[in-house]
Amino acid sequence: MSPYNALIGGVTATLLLGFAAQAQSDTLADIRERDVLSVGIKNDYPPYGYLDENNEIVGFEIELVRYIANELLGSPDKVELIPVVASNRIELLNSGRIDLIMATLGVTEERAQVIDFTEHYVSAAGASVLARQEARFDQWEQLEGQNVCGIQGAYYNRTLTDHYGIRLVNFTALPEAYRALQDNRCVAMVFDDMTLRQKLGEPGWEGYKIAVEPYEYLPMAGGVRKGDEAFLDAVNAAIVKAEGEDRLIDWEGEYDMPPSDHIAARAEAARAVAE
Amino acid sequence: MLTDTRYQRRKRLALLAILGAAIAWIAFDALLGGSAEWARVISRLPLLLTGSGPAWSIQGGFAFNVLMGMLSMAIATLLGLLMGIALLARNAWLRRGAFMIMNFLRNSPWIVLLFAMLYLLPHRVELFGTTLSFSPFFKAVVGLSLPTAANFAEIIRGAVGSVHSGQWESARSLGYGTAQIYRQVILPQALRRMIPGWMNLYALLMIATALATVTGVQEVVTLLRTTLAMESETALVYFYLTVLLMFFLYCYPIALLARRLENRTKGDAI
Amino acid sequence: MFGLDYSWLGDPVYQRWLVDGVWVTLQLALVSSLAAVAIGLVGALGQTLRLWWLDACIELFVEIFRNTPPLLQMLFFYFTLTQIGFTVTDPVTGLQHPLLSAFVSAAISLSLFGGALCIEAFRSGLDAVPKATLEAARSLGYTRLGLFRRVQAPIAARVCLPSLTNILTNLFKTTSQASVITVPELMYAAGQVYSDTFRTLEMMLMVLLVYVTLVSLLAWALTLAERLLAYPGYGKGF
Repeated sequence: MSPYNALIGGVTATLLLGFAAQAQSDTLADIRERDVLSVGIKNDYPPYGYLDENNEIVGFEIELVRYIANELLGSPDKVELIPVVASNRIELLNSGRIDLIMATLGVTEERAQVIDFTEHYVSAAGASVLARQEARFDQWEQLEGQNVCGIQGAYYNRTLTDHYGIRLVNFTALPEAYRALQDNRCVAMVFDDMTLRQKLGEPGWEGYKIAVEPYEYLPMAGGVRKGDEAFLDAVNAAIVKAEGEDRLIDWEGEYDMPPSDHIAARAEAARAVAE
Repeated sequence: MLTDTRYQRRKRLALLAILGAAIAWIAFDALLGGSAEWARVISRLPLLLTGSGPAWSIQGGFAFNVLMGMLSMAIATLLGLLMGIALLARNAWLRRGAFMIMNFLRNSPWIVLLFAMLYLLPHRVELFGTTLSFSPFFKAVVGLSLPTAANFAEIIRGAVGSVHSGQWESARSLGYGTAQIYRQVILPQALRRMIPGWMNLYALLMIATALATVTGVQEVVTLLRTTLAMESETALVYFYLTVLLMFFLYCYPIALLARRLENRTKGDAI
Repeated sequence: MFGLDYSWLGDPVYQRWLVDGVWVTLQLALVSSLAAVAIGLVGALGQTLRLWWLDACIELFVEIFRNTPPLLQMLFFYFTLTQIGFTVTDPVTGLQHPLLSAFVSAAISLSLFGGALCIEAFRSGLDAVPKATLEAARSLGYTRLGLFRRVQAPIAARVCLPSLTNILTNLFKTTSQASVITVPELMYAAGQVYSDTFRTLEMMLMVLLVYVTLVSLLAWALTLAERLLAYPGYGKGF
């Protein structure tokens, strides 16, 4: 076989493969017809979504998802939980595999160009840096040229590599990044501030600290396909209703999250609107 | 020098001795505290095997790998057969086209094909009024079956080509037509030679199902990586060994059987 | 065409990531191919010694690496070897660092996987040398070493070249799996880019094309070598 033949074959096949169809429809009517809501969630990300001792997926976002399913379809069980990772969730949404992202999705401008965001149900700090107690750095700039573990698909990756010159070692899954940090494959690990702080409370993490504080705060929201107005409104109504009933505050307590002013303020606001 | 049978017997004994030593080492390690780690593995085993926690219904896990392997193999056999026939066609354009597609698929990494299929195939298609849904599982099956089909086509071509050309000439001089030669002379021999290759391909495909982890299918490697988030560091080795063993126990017997068959057909007249 | 958007290719940051990725892919493929062939030679030669215990060990090695997923092997080498003591201690900080970097873990596991396949291929190549040829050479007065060097090895090498081509192209393709353990090769770079741009399909089609081109070139070069080295009756064309 000559390289010429292979190349021609390659180009032809690629072009043939290029015919992809997109289904675009009214999700609200669609899920009512299917009688199930497909949601992309995290299953490796306590407290938002993770596997408990019985191998069941639970967590703060899972509670919210079930609440929304109950509002939209009349039962908290009419929901299909699809585990996603940061690098594939938007693609899965836009290809129609899932109807809704509830997977610790940070609200950014870049993402707003390809999807629509729901109400911002959580305000999490942006990325902070987890490192050993002995670590001497406390500024982002000091990490220039260092190996830092991270997660593929996180919104801040480009800022960190481009702006701060950090050498990111990006994993697809969170557990592997923690493992690599503990193995000293990186001098530090960069991830959502709250998750890292919670990790510090776990056994085996006594020797670690938050070395660098977040450089920004970022709300988290659900994600839906662009222009899917009816569905977005229905999901938003459900979220606001849950907030008004103080359910998010209950879940905060249930999953050992630090009380957040954002959630309390939103609960107040939701009640004010209702009255 | 030892005679062949005695040599083989000694070799088999040595293999058994290594196996015994491995088991003894595991038992020793279990006594030293490894049993707690094995208990963790056992509590997660239902999840790793079937993808469901308490209930034994199949939602993923190694069962998914087996299922993906079988479905992909079925599709690949069919596609490969078509491609293989096209490779042997008398029409030069058909032959060249099939050859290019085969080479393209054979030369692309499985993991990249899987990714490409994930994003290329639509999630849902409206066909004759009914909605067909393509789950990531189904997309993975398609992604895995494409390179497998190309490899199967190559096996077919090789098997047919391995039948000595003299047989063609002698059959033709006896007045056989092309279709007749294929049916009565070439295919019976080629089929026997194809089977070991087909089995090896199945084992290879089974191993490749682990790659479906990149497409988010909840197969055993995905679940392994998720589970490890909840497990202590010391359990890591035990979990990895368990999953490696699952693949080995499934694939090794197939490879062994394929080799037996291969050795049996080797003696055939060429 | 077809609504594909490749405008992001103009971004110099992405260009650099992708070009670096191709470079790492090539390095990884080269290193592991050389090591795999070396392992294959040592293993196949070890088997010709006909020592039953050595033979048993080699067979076990081959079967384990052939019958488990390379992806799992890589994860295993990357994560568990540090767990069971493959670490170096930094004299200044007293911290244990992993002995094997992601690249080295991937290279080792690919070498072992490819090596197992090579042992198989080389062994069947040696087996394929006709007994009659060896008898004839022996009667001409070759010593055992001379027989191996002048007769058995040259014939066997030509017989197993086609399967070596298969193994090396296969190995090249398998390097793409190293992305899972963060080796910054082409597939990893692609992931970095598409999770930024969300142009997943475009990225994957491009990566597919790059791999097919590289692998086809490799296959073409190796097939050319086969043809140049062919003895009449062996290797190509029987």
